[in-house]
Amino acid sequence: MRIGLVGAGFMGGVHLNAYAGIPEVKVVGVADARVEAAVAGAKMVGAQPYSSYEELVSAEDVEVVDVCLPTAFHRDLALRAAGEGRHVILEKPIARTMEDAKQILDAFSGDGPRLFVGHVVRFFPEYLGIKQKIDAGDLGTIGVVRTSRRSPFLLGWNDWYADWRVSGGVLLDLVIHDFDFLRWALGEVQRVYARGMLGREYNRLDYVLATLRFESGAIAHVEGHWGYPGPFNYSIEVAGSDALLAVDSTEPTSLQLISGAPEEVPDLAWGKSPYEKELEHFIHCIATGEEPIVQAHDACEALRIGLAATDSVLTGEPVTLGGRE
Amino acid sequence: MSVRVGLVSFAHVHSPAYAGVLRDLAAADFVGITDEDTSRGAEAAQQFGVRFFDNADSMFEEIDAVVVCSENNNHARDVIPALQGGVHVLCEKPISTTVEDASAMIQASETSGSQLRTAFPVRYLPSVVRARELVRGGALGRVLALNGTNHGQIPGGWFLDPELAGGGAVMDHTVHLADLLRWMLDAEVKSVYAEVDSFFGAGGTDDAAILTLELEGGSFADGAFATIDPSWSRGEGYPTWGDVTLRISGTSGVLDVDPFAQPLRTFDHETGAPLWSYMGEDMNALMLADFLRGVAEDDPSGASGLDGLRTLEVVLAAYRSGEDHEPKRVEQTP
Repeated sequence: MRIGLVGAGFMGGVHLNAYAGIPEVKVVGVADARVEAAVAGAKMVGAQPYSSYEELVSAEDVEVVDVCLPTAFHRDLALRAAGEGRHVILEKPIARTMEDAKQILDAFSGDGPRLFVGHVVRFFPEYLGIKQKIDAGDLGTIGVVRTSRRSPFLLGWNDWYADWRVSGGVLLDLVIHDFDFLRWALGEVQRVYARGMLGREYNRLDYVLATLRFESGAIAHVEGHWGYPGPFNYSIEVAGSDALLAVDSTEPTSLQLISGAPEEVPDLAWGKSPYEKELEHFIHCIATGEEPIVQAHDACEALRIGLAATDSVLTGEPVTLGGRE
Repeated sequence: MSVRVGLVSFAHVHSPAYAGVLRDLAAADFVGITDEDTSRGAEAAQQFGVRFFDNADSMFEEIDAVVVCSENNNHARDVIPALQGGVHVLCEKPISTTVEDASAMIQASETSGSQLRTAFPVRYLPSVVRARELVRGGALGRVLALNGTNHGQIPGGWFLDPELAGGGAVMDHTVHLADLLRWMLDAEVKSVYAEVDSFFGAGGTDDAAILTLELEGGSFADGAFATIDPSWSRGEGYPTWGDVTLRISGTSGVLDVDPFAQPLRTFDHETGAPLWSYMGEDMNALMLADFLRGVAEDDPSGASGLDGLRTLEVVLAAYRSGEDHEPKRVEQTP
């Protein structure tokens, strides 16, 4: 399967690394407006560098477009690729607004090209394990779930992360992972209350504490931190009526190299990287027509939760999620 | 000089620990115990080698200070006569179940000149003391947000009786963290939002919640927000009683406070259940020693009755918010 990757920034590099381990795919081209980035990315997988999507698809026969661009560019590129009959793998969040997300969803609603959104946390073994234990009933009734996800501030293209109106801040770019996982594990969200830094104009710092109430009754507490002064880390604790379950990425992993430089993307050393598993799964779904573990609709719903939390931060009021489609 | 001290009621689970400390503290002359449950009280008095008083007033005549450990709803009944009898009081948390009771206790303290303290032992944990110094010394820059937990197991007994306890986990656990926030930051709680429910087997009373607090005032954290998880979410299989944790995020750093971290881990071959033992200094002993010092030196520093009331107001606002899912302004009783 021939892949064209657009956006050789932070996540583009992670995806290229992952593709290198998937024999069924060939990355034929890497496009980035920053020529050095395109060249460096292309070199990772023996592909050709291009300075734009247009150049890429006019020179190469691209079946799948992997979009690792800033969120604001997702819609236009996804719509274009869909119109050209190409499958799209889109980094999360699916879009910055619900309107954009719906347009993207509509463009892929037919029998033609398919859309996959990279909610990679579902492919982390420990989160998958939690989901399986909840589904098996091992925890009983789920009461209170606590999650945390903290990351150093990323310096993206044109510093796009720093303007929350563009990036959505920590809620839409980082904590949306937890929103998606929690909805996967616990079902639909009824109500959101969140406090955070949005609107306070701190430079390269965003922090949020959100409370979700699910239709099942379960309560989740979600912490997100952008601009965390230490290495990336995450944790989750699920308290049920029958058992308590906890995972913390700051605990020693199976393999630890102590050399002074912090690792920004977690390396579980448990086998295949979750990014490789995710992309392999998407490729498999394209090849077989199977439904993915995370569907485009799920990505929209995760965005809806993130936007509700954003509203709550800005208004100081709880937001009820009604009228789901 | 040692302070003549008594203990009212073995209703609370903390009573035996307090009694053990009072028996062992050099600064304490542990005189006696009174308890409306006379057999419980007499048994405890025998265990700790002190006199049993079947009448609280007669005990108050022979002591300078008293620790009150009755059910939350009975604190005012036991505390006010002690204060009026010239006895300094350390009252178990929460100070009471109603603002009226707490106000009456504070009033009795002011009128009598006897000290009223609320039992917030977490203030005395060495890591917590150091955390307060770090925050106030500017180690985090401006404090933006705090993420706190006080988890535990379902206590059982009268703790599950809404009349006697005044509530469940939210009443029992919120006050420790609410007190730390106020004490560390010199801030007050402006508003509270809470999701409150019951999942873990406490029956009709709440055993799960997440509270979100907005803070105001103070020079370190005006405008900061905080969450408190007071849930009784730890079951029988949990290797220790629960936790107190506080993560403080600021403009130039993050401080994780976990006073009971690095426990001694025991893996018992017979039971198969792991056991964590805290090996640090005993917060109850530190608190009681400071109470007795305050009595001896006529120094009413430490968590006051008003500190107890302010944290109770947060709890009551949380219960109101839990009812209708709206943020509630915390009404501060004058």
